Amino acid sequence: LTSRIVAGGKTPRAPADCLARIGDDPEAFEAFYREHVTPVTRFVARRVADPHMVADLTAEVFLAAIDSAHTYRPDRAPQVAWLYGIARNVIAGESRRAARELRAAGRSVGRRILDDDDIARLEERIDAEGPGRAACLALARLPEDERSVLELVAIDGLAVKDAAAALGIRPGAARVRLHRARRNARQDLVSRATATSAPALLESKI
Amino acid sequence: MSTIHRPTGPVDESGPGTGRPGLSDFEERLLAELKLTVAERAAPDGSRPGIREQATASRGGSRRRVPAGPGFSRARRLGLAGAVSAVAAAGVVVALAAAPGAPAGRSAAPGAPASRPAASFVPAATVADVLHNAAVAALRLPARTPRPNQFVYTKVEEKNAILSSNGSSLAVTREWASVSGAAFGFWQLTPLDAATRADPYVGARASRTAACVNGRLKVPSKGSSGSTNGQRCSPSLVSGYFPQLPTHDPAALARYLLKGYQSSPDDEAGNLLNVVWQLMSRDYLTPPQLAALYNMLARTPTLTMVPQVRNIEGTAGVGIRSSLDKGLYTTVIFNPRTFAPVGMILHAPVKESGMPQNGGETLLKLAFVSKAGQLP
Repeated sequence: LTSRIVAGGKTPRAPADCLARIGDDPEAFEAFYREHVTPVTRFVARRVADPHMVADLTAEVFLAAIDSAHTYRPDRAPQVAWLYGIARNVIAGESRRAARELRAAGRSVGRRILDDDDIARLEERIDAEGPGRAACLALARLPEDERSVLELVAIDGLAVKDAAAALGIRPGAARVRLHRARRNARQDLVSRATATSAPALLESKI
Repeated sequence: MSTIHRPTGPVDESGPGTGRPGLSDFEERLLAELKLTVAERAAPDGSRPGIREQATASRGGSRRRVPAGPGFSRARRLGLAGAVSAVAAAGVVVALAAAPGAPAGRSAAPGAPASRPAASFVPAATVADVLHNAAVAALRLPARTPRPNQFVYTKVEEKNAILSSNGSSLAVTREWASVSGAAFGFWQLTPLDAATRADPYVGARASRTAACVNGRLKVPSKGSSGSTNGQRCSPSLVSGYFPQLPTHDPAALARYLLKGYQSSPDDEAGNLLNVVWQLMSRDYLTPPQLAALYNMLARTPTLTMVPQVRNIEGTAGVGIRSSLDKGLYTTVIFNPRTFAPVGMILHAPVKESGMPQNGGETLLKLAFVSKAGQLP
């Protein structure tokens, strides 16, 4: 899988009919999963720093993908953009759920069982995505509609039209939001003197 | 496909022991779970157990005992480990009876109702009769109050109840759950046969489990004392002792359990039966708590009695059965004379699934120990 993901390169797209079958064909799902699990895990790790949560959310992203495979339109977005759109919703839903549950019941909930090796590997990935995670945090001051586009383009590496598809908005609207987000982010970064790598990463991308 | 930028340097993606370069062990296990879910969806009656229940359990608590094991969520925590008094001497392992038999032992343990029903068995002709007798038997158990710094040790034999690549597995899982929730717990899976041992999705696994310290979740890290991940928590997140279960009112108890543990909205009885099994096999419940749970189940409609059924070790008993999903049943089995629980079995009748057709769990040991990893 690593060989498919090259900095600045292209990842071969699984056939669209493969995605359409992931809900009821385990082999089709396996091909789809093997192609996308790493980018999805990284996407989650750029937003969540707990290995257990990364594991759970990664699983939920694929579960949601299985459920909604029939909604995928290959003419509108590449698979990874579609998955990132799902992942955003899963992570947002998790944040709301966690807050609600902690407030309401103070009880839990199980977690995926990870052994020390699993945790170590997920922590490696989480550490590797640290700058991206910091960059996401650095964008926290932006309005949600601007931030979401900028995150997907500058941090997650989607093309603008693909980010638009992931967010369910028109490409034109995405470009407008991206323009505003970049302008506001630059102003925000300039106004904040910080030594973290996140602004540097962002500045190079926006 | 769009360009995927690496924000940082490469990460080694080769997973040890998978035999499939590219994915880590966890990712391979997750793939296996997800493929089962896909197969479940494709099954004619959709009756196979899959990851969905696991995932929902992970998010909101468990209600059914579906295949548990590496990579699966084990939603098993509820309750709050409150202030508890010392009973056992420090460093002494206190073995608890996993089956009733010890007389008396009336206690003021958490969950004790103001008054108890008459402690006598009735002819076991109905679900309510069996559960009444089980409650009576539970109240005869000696009550224990663990110290906060102890661990609830459970040893459970699991047959075909964990994920495996060949659909068959036999293993023992041991758990050490902190009584207070403030210390790391431990979980260990030991395969009992060669096939399970060699299974790339199972194998022998062990892991420390999280603690809740000063209201913050503390996650074990390899080679360190753990890191606090900032997530707010209550000790109930990880504890194995729940003194605050609302045991005085069966209806309130059911609501309490369903509030966080319901996975199948259409199957309240199945949810409750499985939550009860999960609690009694992975955590310490006081005799009044056990009795209250049985009394609650006795008022739950749609459960059925199975006059004779065998656990995974072949021990016969009387069963209380619930239909969890179409075609999938779970049965909690009681000794027909003592009405002690002797196990739980799963029935998954779909043969095309590749999933275990039948499986189950038997609680072999429940004890308090002083350290995670210590055997009683």
